[in-house]
Amino acid sequence: MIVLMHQRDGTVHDGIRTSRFSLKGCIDCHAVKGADGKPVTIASGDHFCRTCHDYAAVRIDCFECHASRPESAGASAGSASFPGREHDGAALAQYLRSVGR
Amino acid sequence: MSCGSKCATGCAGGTGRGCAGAGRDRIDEERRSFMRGAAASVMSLGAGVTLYAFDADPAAAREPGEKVTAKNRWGLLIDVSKCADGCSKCVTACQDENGWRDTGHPETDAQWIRTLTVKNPNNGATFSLPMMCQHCANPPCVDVCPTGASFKRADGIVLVDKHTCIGCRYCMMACPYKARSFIHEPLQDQKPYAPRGKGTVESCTLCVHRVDSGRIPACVEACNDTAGGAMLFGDLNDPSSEIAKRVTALRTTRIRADLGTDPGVYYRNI
Repeated sequence: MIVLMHQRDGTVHDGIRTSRFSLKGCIDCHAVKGADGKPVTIASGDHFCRTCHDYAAVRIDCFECHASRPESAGASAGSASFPGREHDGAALAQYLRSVGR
Repeated sequence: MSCGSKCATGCAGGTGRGCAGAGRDRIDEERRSFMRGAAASVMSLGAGVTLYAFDADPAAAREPGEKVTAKNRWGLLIDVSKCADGCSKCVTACQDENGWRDTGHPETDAQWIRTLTVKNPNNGATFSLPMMCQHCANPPCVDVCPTGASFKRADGIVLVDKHTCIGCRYCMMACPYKARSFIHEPLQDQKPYAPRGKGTVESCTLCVHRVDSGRIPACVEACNDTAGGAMLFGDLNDPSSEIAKRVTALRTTRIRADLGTDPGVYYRNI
């Protein structure tokens, strides 16, 4: 998160919009498809960011403003789906390996 | 077409009513310049090491990984005589691009850009003009912001950093153009390149995401493609740019220029 905050200032204040500075870039790759084949939003427990933050009991507010899925449905979205809602450490690690490209 | 509740007082309507005396405002401007002295000297150091040349093409002005610099000053020139009565193509283009829309609550709905109809009470003559953030060089919204969220980018685009905005709305009160809106309700499915959310203030960003990738703002594009071509976007600092040439050669007006805000939006035929 420290790294992200530095990059957000680079984007907002200095106009640097390369992929390394882009939360949109993160979302485009780390999108997770739901049962309907479309990327899930932060409302779903399967959302890439939520899986870890739910596990750590941390509520993130990034997506009160930022879009939590790519704009064009299916565009570069990952094909992974979360194995279960148990959120145990081993399942979480396996899931993150499958979607973390 | 009417301008709606937000401009009911007519403070940015150009009728001249309620204009403060130019002499009194000059004092404020001098104070601002004095306070800015230290920051300005740092900026001039940065400008001295800029490597690339002036170019009329915004895309070639900056490498993607480079910071914005004061070499550019983005601005608009709007020829009001080309604004047809009832045309709101620029407004709908902005809504589509940035994802704000009317929700049936005119008192609180966000308005990044709106059309004003200005009427001469003596003879009833009317004309329309688009009104949005004027991207002032001396923005009052930045002066009053208690957290530094309201800021002016080096290239003259005035923005809200919503990471630090606490939603106090001082900037909305300070803006002479009533350009800013507050988001009252939770939002879903924002545009990925235009984040906006409840509890923060927002306004026209001059389509900063487009400008950073060498494109022109959505309102200007829509006006050129589907309406009268009233709007021109460009770099006011570049003497070879079309907008700089026209601003130099033609008689233009900046709204409430008497306040000393030095807006980046110029109007013709007001």
